Amino acid sequence: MRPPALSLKHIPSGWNQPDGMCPVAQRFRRAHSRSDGTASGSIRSGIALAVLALAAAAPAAAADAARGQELYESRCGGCHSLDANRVGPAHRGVYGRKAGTAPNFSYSTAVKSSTVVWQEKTLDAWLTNPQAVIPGQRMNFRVALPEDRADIIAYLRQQSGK
Amino acid sequence: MTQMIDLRRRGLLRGSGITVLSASAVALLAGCEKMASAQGRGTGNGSTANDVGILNTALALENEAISAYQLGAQSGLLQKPVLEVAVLFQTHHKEHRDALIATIRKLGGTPVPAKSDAEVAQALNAAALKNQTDVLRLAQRLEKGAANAYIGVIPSFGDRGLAQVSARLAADEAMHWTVLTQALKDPLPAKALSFGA
Repeated sequence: MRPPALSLKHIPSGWNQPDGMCPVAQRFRRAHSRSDGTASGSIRSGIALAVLALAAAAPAAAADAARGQELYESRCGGCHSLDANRVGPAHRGVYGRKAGTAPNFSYSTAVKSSTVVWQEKTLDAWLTNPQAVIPGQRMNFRVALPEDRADIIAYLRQQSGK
Repeated sequence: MTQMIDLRRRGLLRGSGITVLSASAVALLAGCEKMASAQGRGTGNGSTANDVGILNTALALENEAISAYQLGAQSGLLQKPVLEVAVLFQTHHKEHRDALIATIRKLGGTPVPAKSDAEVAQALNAAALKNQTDVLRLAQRLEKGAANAYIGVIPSFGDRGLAQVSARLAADEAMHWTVLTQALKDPLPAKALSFGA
């Protein structure tokens, strides 16, 4: 199960209650509190920034290939299979492969002449907006959420033996 | 009023050489005529070409669905009333196909040809289908994939009218999926927003 993404709402609303607050934090709070005991705007902003910085610094949750398989089958399965060319090309081995080189698939000229190699970053960009990666491509299907893209890519990588 | 609009559209379609279109195909094209007309005057741009590309991918998907239902109907594995439902759904896909072909042509594009049933049978591993449940499962999987495909291309359309058409096609596929899911006695999704996710 992927943990929920951190956001400002994860700053406890009762953060400035003394209970459980470490002495350093209490001194910091006293030094930066208003006379009515509420936190100053700068402190709240500082904490928010610190939380966001921590979230950015934390390692990204590992992509989930099993969830990626479910997503692949429901989202990509209308047009793709691992081992057969259908509306789109077969996907086994796609990770690490140059774009437009699945055997016996009839690609658009744009994809065929592209120099893109399908790896983590290129696949993520492709699934975000294919037209931005290879103008003139024919897929146009987009996956909006980064975690969904990461899991689908993890599955494709796994099925490509990479 | 509605009838007048429909009659005008039918006349327009006849005038452009498209002779046989179902009522649903005509309805699907509604709202696309202004864009098609602009394209004909040479005011089209890259986004129109991209929209034609999306419609052609949708056409390939519809062609595959038509073949898949054909294979199912001819397999001898479907009994009544499931067979009649499968034939009805194939009719829907044929109407989608006709509407897509008409729209692609009106936008100045060339519709992609359909693969043969034999090619589709091989790609979908139809030889592995042994009973009615297998056929229904394949259809259910394809319909869900088609619904999600139509949802997933909506942000890529340059024309909002075509994006709406994509949503309407997705709704048809979702309806097919729901009926197939009931026929298989599968549980319905416990949570909302189960398509496109």
